[in-house]
Amino acid sequence: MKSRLRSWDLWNMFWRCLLVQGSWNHKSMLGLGFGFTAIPFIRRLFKSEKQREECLRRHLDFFNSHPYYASWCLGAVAKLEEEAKRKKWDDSRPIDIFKERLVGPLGAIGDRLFWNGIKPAAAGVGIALGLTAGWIAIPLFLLIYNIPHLTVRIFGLREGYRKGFDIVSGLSVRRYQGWFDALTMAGAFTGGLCLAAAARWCWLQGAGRMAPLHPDGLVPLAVFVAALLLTWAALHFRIPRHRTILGAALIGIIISLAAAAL
Amino acid sequence: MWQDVVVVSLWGGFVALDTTAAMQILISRPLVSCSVVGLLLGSFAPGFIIGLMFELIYLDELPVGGALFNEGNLGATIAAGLAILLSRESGRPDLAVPLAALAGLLTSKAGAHIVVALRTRNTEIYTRLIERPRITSGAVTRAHLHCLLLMFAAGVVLTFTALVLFFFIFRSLIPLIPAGWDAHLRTLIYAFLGVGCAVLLYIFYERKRWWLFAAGLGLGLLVWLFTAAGAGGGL
Repeated sequence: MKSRLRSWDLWNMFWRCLLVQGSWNHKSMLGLGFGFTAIPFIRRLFKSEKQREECLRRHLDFFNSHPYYASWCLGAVAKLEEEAKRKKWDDSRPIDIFKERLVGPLGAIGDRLFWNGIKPAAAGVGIALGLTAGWIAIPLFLLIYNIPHLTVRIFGLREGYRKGFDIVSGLSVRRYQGWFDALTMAGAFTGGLCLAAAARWCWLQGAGRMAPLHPDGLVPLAVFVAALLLTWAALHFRIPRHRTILGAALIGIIISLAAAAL
Repeated sequence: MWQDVVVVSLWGGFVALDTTAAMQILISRPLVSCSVVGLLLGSFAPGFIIGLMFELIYLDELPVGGALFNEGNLGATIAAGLAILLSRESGRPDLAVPLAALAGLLTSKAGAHIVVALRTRNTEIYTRLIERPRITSGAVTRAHLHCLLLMFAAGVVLTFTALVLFFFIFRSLIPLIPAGWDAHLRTLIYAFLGVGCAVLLYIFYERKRWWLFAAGLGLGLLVWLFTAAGAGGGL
C-alpha cells in the first residue's frame, strides 16, 4: 500500500506541532491547535472544499494531551483518515473515539515523564553545574532536556503514522514505569548534588572570603540551611509558596542582624 | 535605559510564548532566560544568579492543562532585567538583586491571572471560529496565530510595565535605605537558594532511595573539598 502523505507533509505537521498549545482554551483545550496541526494532511487527502471542511470541523473538537505527545495522536489520526478515505469508511466515529481514548494516556505519560521527571532532573544538573562551573550549565541543561523532548515529538509522529490504531499498545503508563523510576532515581541523586553545590556556593560567599569562624562569614550558610528547613516544613504543611519565601527572607535578615550584633 | 527596557520586553514576549504556547524548548526557564537578559544588557553574572534562584523556586510549578500557575519564567526575566538596571543606576548591586527578586516574585503572581485572562480570550476566538457558517484552513490558521500573537503581546506588555514601574519605585526608594543594610538584604539571595533547594528535594526525595540522595550529596561534597576556586557566575 503506497502512502499518500509525503515526507514534506510530515515535516509540515511536525513544525505545526511545536505550536499545538498556542490556542489552549477552556472549551476545546488543544482542539484548535490540533485542527491547525492537521491542516497539511487534510489538504493532501481531500480535494473538495466540502470534504476538507467536514474533516477540519471534526478535528477542531475537544482534544487534550501533553503537548509533546500530541504528535503521536496526530500521526495516528493522519494514518486513519488516509485509510478511511482509501477504504471508503461510512462513518468517521472510530477516529473520533480513538482520539478521545488517547487523551488520558497521552496526558498522564507526558506529564510524569517530562514535567515531573526530565525537567526537574535536568534543572537540578543545570543548577549544580551553574553553581560550580558557571555558564556551561545553560547549554547542557538545554541539551539534556531537548534531546528526549524532540525525539519524542519526531518519533511519535512517525510511529503514529506507521501504526495507526496499533499505537495504543505502546502507550500505557505501566510500560513507562521503568522510565519513571529511573528518572526519580536520577532526580534523587541530582537533588543531593545540587544541595552540596548550593551549600558550597553559600560557604564561598561568606566564610570562603573571610576568617572561617567569623560570625559574618557563617551567615550565608546559616541562612541557606534555615531557609531550607523552613521550606521543607512549609511544603509538608502545604503553606503557599509566597508566604514561605517571605518567611525565609525574614529569617535571613534576622540571622544577619544577629551576626552583626555579635 | 529605554533601549534596554525595550530589548528585555521583546525577550519577555518570547519567554511568554515558550512557557506554554509555542515550542516549550525551555529557553523560557529562568536559568536560560535570565542569563540571556544578562547577555543582552552586558552584565551576565547578576542575571545568571537570579536565574539559578528562580529556577529552583519555581521548579515544581507545572503548566498542566487549565492549572493556575505562577508565571515564574516572566517574573524571573523581569527580576534579572531590573537587577541589572538598578545596579547600574544606584551602584549598589547587593541591594538591587534582592529588591529585583522581590519584584519578580510579585510579577509572577500577577502573570498567573494574565494567563487565565488570555485563555478566556482564546475561548472566545475558538467559539467565534466554530460558529462560522464556513470554516477554511486559512480561518483556522488565522485564529490560531491570533492566539499566539496575543500571548506574545501580553509577555511584552507585562515585562515592559513591570520593569518601568518597579524601576522608578526602587530608584526613589534606594537612597532612603542606609548603605549599612545592603549586607543584611544580600542574605535574601541565600534564603531564596535555600527555598529552592528544599523544593528540589521535596520533588525527588524518597525514604527508600535515601542512598541515592546521599551519593549525590557525597559527590558534591567531594567536589567542594577538591575545588578551591570560587563559584562560577558569582556576584
